[in-house]
Amino acid sequence: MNAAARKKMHADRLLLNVVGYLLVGLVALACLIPLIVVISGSLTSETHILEDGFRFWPKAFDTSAYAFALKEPATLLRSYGLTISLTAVGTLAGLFISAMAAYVLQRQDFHWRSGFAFYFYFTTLFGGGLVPWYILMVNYLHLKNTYGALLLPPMLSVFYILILRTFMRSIPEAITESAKIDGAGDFTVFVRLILPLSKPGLATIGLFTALNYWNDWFNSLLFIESSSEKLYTLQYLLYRSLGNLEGVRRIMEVTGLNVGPLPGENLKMALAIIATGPIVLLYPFVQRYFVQGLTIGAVKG
Amino acid sequence: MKRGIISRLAANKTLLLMIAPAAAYFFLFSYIPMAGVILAFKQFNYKLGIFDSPWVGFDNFRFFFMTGDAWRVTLNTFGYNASFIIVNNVLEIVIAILLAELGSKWFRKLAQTTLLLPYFLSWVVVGAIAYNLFNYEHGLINTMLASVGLDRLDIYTTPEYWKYILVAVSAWKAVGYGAVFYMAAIMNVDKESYDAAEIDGANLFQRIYHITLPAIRPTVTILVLLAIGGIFRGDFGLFYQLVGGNGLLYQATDVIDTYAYRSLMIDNEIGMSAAIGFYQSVLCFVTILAANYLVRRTDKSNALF
Amino acid sequence: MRKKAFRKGKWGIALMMAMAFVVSGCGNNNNGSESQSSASASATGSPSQAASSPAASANADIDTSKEVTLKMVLLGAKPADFDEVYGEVNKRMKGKINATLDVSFIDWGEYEQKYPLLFAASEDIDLAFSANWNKYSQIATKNGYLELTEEMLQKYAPQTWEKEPKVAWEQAKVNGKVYMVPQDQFEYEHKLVAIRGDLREKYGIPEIKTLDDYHSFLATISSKDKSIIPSMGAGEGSWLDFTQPNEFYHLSYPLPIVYKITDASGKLMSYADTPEYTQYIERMYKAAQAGAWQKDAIVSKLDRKQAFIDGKLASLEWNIGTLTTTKVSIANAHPDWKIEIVDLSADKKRLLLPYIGNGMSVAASSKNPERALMALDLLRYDQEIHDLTNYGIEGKHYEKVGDDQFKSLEASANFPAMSVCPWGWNSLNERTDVTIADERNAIMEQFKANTVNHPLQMFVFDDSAVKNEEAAINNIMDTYGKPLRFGLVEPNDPKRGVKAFQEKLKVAGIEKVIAEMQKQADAFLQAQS
Repeated sequence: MNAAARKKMHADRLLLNVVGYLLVGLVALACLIPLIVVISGSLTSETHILEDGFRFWPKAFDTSAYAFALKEPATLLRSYGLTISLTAVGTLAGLFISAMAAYVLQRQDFHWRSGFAFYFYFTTLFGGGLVPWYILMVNYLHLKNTYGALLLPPMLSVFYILILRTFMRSIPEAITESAKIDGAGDFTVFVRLILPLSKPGLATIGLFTALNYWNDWFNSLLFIESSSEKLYTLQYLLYRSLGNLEGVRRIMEVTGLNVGPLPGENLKMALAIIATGPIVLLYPFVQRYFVQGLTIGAVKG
Repeated sequence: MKRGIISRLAANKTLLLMIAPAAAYFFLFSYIPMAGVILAFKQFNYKLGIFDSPWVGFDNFRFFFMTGDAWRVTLNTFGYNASFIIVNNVLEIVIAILLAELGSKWFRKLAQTTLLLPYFLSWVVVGAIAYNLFNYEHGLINTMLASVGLDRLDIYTTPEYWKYILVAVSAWKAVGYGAVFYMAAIMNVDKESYDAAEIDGANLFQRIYHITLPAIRPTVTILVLLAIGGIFRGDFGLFYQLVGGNGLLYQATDVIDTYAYRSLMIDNEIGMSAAIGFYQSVLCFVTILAANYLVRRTDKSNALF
Repeated sequence: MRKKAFRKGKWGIALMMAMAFVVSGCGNNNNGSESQSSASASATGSPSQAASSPAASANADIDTSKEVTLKMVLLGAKPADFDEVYGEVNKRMKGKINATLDVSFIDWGEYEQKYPLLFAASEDIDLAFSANWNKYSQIATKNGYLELTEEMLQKYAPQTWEKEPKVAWEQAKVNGKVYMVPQDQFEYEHKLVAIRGDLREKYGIPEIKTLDDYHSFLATISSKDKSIIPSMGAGEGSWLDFTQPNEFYHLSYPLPIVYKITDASGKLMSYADTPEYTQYIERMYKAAQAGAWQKDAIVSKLDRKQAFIDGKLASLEWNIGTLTTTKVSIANAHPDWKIEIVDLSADKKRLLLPYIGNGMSVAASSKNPERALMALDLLRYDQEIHDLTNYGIEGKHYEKVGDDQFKSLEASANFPAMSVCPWGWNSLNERTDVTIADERNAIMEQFKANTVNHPLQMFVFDDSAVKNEEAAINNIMDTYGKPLRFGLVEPNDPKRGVKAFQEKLKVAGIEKVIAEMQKQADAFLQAQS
């Protein structure tokens, strides 16, 4: 490399850095500020929120929203446990099934690849709506009040399968060809070569599947009755505490009992923090797959 | 002919077995309940069930078309989603590329985590924050404007602002999420080709243009195609939580989903909501067939199906 | 989050309905002696012994030898002491009819979604809370509930059949068939306003009697006191400022179709076309200009009652039950606020709400409808069971005060009185909370003097022929009617004003809806006379 070229490199690097740090920094700031407002709001009393709206720093700290949300720590811990187990089992199973399907769909020698792709994709266009699905789940599959009702619905997503297919396509065919010549079957090639080479894609899809499990409250709402409350997922438990709050309000109205100032907007904020905190902390562990890429050569060798 | 199929099945036995679990899953959870689309043409009766309820033809669709607003809200839905697709994807790609190129690992990690934060906030919380930002008396924007002696903005009564607000909020919430896909795609690029380009004396921007962009092209194609497949479905949470029950803004902010919701919220007739869903499905189906055809013509391997 | 936001509107109605007992009629404990005699037999399980109790003896020919568990669906959150209280209930139930209740709760946050699904999927349920504000007529027309015939009621719920006012059965009819056992007490929908008396005196505003007084109070607060929000605006409909002062009554809220309470002919009209409506909108526009509510009130997410209690809001619009309890609770914390409850249309006539605001239905899928009705009869008229489900365990959750009042005890936080969804079997035997009794009774006297009856009170509109028009109109109400109500639009504005609103309603087919309603109403009136 000559000196002129190196100088040129410096100029473009400098430009990119200036633009990059500035733009990304600004967008990141725009994403961070509301979160700070949410945290601050969760630590402000409802009365102060009514008075001043949300601020960056609470005028006076107040943890009543957390106290309300965490009233029953045992229940909360149990639903953390349930949600973690659902997330782990569901994500692993979903990822494996999706990866297999995606691998088959991207195989150029698979005769029905287009047909299957359409078969999968079509389900995203037309749906029967909530009621037929509910009837199927409850009356035919008998999944009401079961672990399965929470595990199965978020497991697979056509979008994720198709995105995974695209990621897998970028793996040079030569690699699988050479393995096949060595006598490896399709499944062996998939497990030994494709899975390790698809790590960034798998991490991405795994992350989002995990998030779907983590954030799911709707399946609990539909399929879990109050008699099976050990099957309440975390988000549903939190979602309920908002509903219960209204119940408490009603009781106050009805009986005239005064149970002290109640949380409201601040509870919404506190719930957002309690629910997302753990998964935000987990994110850096997955992140390395997006920050440092794979060198295909390294895996090959 | 028949033997041809059997031998082909046998040859693809492993592959078919590998795709079978996913195929069965969607058959069970999507295709069987899909029979429910016929509810759009029926008056549902609980006792008679889905199949024996009486047919009513297109009667369930009438409420949507009778006031002449259908065209406007359909167009709105399309317009917003098209803007979201363009703005969000461009922003996501730019950020993904910049993040991949920036030197400081520390900054990259931190920025990435931060960018994903809005994805975690539910639309209810976003709606509450937006209200605190935009409201006339105590909103942050108006308080700031007033403190420097400018006139307050009547944001909640001016439809014009909302076109930009909705696009901006959508981008804000989606950018971190979408960028992850592009970052993963960039990380999939073989590092050797970068090194080769550097040795050839290509500058940074040339390298991005000639190596990075082509490398993420399949990802861009698939993500955009998937988004186009839902171009007639509005993001209900976004529109409903931000605009709320504010009739003054509907002209600019109504999408099919909010319009139907408002019509049906009092008397949630299953057939009528199924009808709206069917209308959206048909429009999306036609659009995606066209888009997929265009992609197939130029770039067969990256088409959806 | 679609469902969550949706809840708010209905919540107001639900709450209003829940006030039923607060506005209950005179208490009447004619069952007292019965319940004492039955108490001894309650703990035992054998039906033969239960036959000695009055409830069962009336039905001696009914075979209750097979023990059954009845699944009952209620709304709300399950309170901490629920199992204890219902354990007591079940002991008694088992003794009397050899059945126990297995209750599942649907939370307020999810009932809109979950409740209809139970019926759509024909799930295994026996009894369910039902109400006209909770899709009663829709689920009934879709055959989600079991039709209750006269013979069934007479045989299995004899006390209910005897004591329920005949009018209530009429109201419960959908297409001529009864699908609900309504509560047998009445309530008012009439809206009142509570204001901060201290502020009124501070700014030298004379006593508030009329709507104009009220609006000028709000305008004064707005200009003189920046630290408090004058009002929430027309957030909860148009009763206070429009329908009540004009003696209009909605036939099927929120459709803008009303009849005049004082006009026995029952002529229906679109209120948007009346001169009263134009006047009302002009008044609201002026009030909004004067700052009677915040500019963004239409999107405000403020919890108005909490704001009023916290001193952030100078006036609160609600019904008698909520306002009296609010006044009592403020009186303890801030006696200096001098809360005044005002009836802005004190001399106007008013109607009683329909009985079907709360009730119980038997699910079409029930395997034991007979036993379900027998259980319902006990919930309503077995004094002991009734009191348990309403107030909890005596001496633990509440104590009796005289014949018709009660006082909540400390433990009632774990089983709050009249809050664990007992509204479906509200009966004339309700007790009133001592803390609000005086305040309420004073206002009630005034209410009673102005109460009238209208034949259409009992009429339930079958909307199946005009569902599309209804949906389109609901949309127009939100898009055009609501901004007008909040005074956000100049009444003569060509694009969004009163004229445009009227036009849009026509396009949406309001005339067809009125014609259909009038047809049904006329037939109903004819059948009545």
